Parts: sequence; structure tokens; C-alpha cells
Amino acid sequence: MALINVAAGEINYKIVYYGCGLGGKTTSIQYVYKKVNPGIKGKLVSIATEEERTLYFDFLPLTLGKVRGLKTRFHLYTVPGQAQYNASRKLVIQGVDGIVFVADSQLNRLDDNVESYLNMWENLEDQGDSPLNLGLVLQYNKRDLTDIFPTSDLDELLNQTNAPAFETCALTGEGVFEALRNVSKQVIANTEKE
Amino acid sequence: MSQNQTVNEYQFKIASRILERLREAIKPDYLGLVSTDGHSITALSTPGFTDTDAVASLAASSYAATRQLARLVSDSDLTMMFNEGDELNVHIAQVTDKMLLVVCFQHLADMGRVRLLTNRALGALVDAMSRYEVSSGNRSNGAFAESADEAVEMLIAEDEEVSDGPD
Repeated sequence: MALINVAAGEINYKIVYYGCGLGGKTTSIQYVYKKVNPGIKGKLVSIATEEERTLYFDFLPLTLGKVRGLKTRFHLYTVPGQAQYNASRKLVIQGVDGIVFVADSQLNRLDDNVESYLNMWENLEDQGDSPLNLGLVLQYNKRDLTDIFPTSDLDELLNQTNAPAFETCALTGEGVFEALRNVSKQVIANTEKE
Repeated sequence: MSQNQTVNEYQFKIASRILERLREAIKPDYLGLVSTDGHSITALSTPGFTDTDAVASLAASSYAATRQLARLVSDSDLTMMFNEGDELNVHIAQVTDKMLLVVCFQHLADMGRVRLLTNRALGALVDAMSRYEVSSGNRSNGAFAESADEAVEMLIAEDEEVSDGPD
């Protein structure tokens, strides 16, 4: 849920990158950090293991500046993708406004993707949310590799809500900003509905 | 989606006043109200203090993780957390279900006094937040979304002038 501070004239949104381990969530947020206008970004904070696997989350604040008198900010988070960190994932998605589900397009990651997608759904429902009511986009990542599913298969397997899906390569950044812009617009539109 | 959390003008003004008085009394490095989702609501800090957005996010996450841990091991709830560091202490206390008070202060400060005054401020904050918990309306309207979309297009974009090199 967005935090609206009427007196300070601020609106804050939380967007979470979700998906299986080594799928490209942290790489996506790092690409955004590296390439976005320096004037709108804060520090990128990562809580990772010594092997640079996400232990808790990555965090990147973006400030759009004033829109109609409201200082509009997006806080981007990633979750730890590894199965054993579900308790941490539940904490990170508290109060989420939008989700970027990062799927690994490789053939051998099918089970991991499906498991992570179902896990996302379950965790959201546990906290009284539903992907149907949140901003949601899918990144079909690692499209530069060879042994990958066609996007139509990924749609059938993972895109149960007909959310906008983007072919991405987080390493080169292809599609990453398109996905972020789309989910950002969705969460803003959702605020209007309330 | 859960309902948006709105901090109305009364709550914000009273909270700001309470925080200002607490700052005068204990002179912390950082003093802030933070949502349990990790958003900074209002913060006062010494010049040069590190990124307040990151502080809000980390404080809320740390509190949430410790609270969950407490529930797991002892089936009890946690309403306050204190971390003692070599130079800096961090005190986090729950104001409401959705709001935390975070105080970072130097090790040299009188710890007992800081905790006493912080607890008093906490009482005043709890009172203010519940007493003035009225909806002040959502200031956003269709025009906001339209303008925000334009800002998203313009600002959430790759900056060609930024190098590809590591930071």
C-alpha cells in the first residue's frame, strides 16, 4: 500500500522484484541503479551473503520529484530468491504496491520459476493481498541465452493474470526500464482507484 | 491491495513537534518516524548523516525480522528493540501497528536518559496518532496519475551520460 503523507506532500510506493534464485532480480536493480538519472536515485543498499547472493534484500529509492504538488517516490526492493529464505520474502513484500516477477527463461529453470510464482501468490494471499489487485509485470529474463523457452510457453506457465510481460536481458539492461516504467504506472493508477 | 496508509496533517504536525522537542532534549544523530513497510514519514538528522531513506528501510526490516524471530522462539510480541554499537546506538520502538520511532544516538550520550525521554515521546506519539486518526482524503485524482505517468516516462529512463563502469 502506498504511504501518503498529506502534510509533507509525499507519496511513497513499494515495488518488489520477485523470482527464483539467480534469475536476475539483483542484476535488474543494479542496472537501474547504474543507468538511471543520478539526480533521482538514492544509495543502493544490499544485504547479501559473502558469495553475493541476496540474503535479505536489495533496496534502491527513486524520487521522481513533485507531481501535482506531491513528491513522488518509488522504493525498489528485491527478495532473496532461494527457497529457504521464505520468511525473509514475506517480510520484504509487506505493504507492496507492485511486483516485477523476474523469470529465468532457461529450460532447466522451469520448476524453479513455477515454484517461485506460486510462492509469490501464496505469500501475498497470506498477507491479504492478491496479484490481481497489485501492479504486476513479468520480466522474461536471459533472452540472450540459447536454451530458453519461447515467450508463449512462459506466458502459459507463469502469466496467469495476463500481466504485461517483457523480454529482458538484465546484464545488458534490455527491457528492464520498460518493465519498471510499466509497473510504476500501474501502481500509480491503483492509488487513484482507492 | 491493502488500503493506502495516510498520515494526515494533524498527525504530521503533532509528530513533528514531538520529534523536534525530543531532538532538543537528547541531540540524536537521527530521529525519525518510519512506516513498518520501510518508508520514511519524517526524519531529523545531523548534517552529513547517512541516507535517511536507507535508514528507514533498514530499520523497518530489522525490526520486522527481529519481531518475527521473537514470535518464533517465544510466542511473544516485540514492541521495542535496542542495539548497542561501538559508537552509535539504535533504538526502535513501535508507535502504531504501521509506524515505528527510530532513534540513532552517540555512545557518549546518557543512555538511560535517552531511553526515558524516548519512551515519554513515544507515549505522546501513540496518543497523537490514535486521537487524530481521521481520514484526510486522498489528494490524488486522475490528473495526478496523468502527470505522474509523464514523470515516469521522463525520469525512469536510461541516462546516456552515465558511464557503464562500476560505481
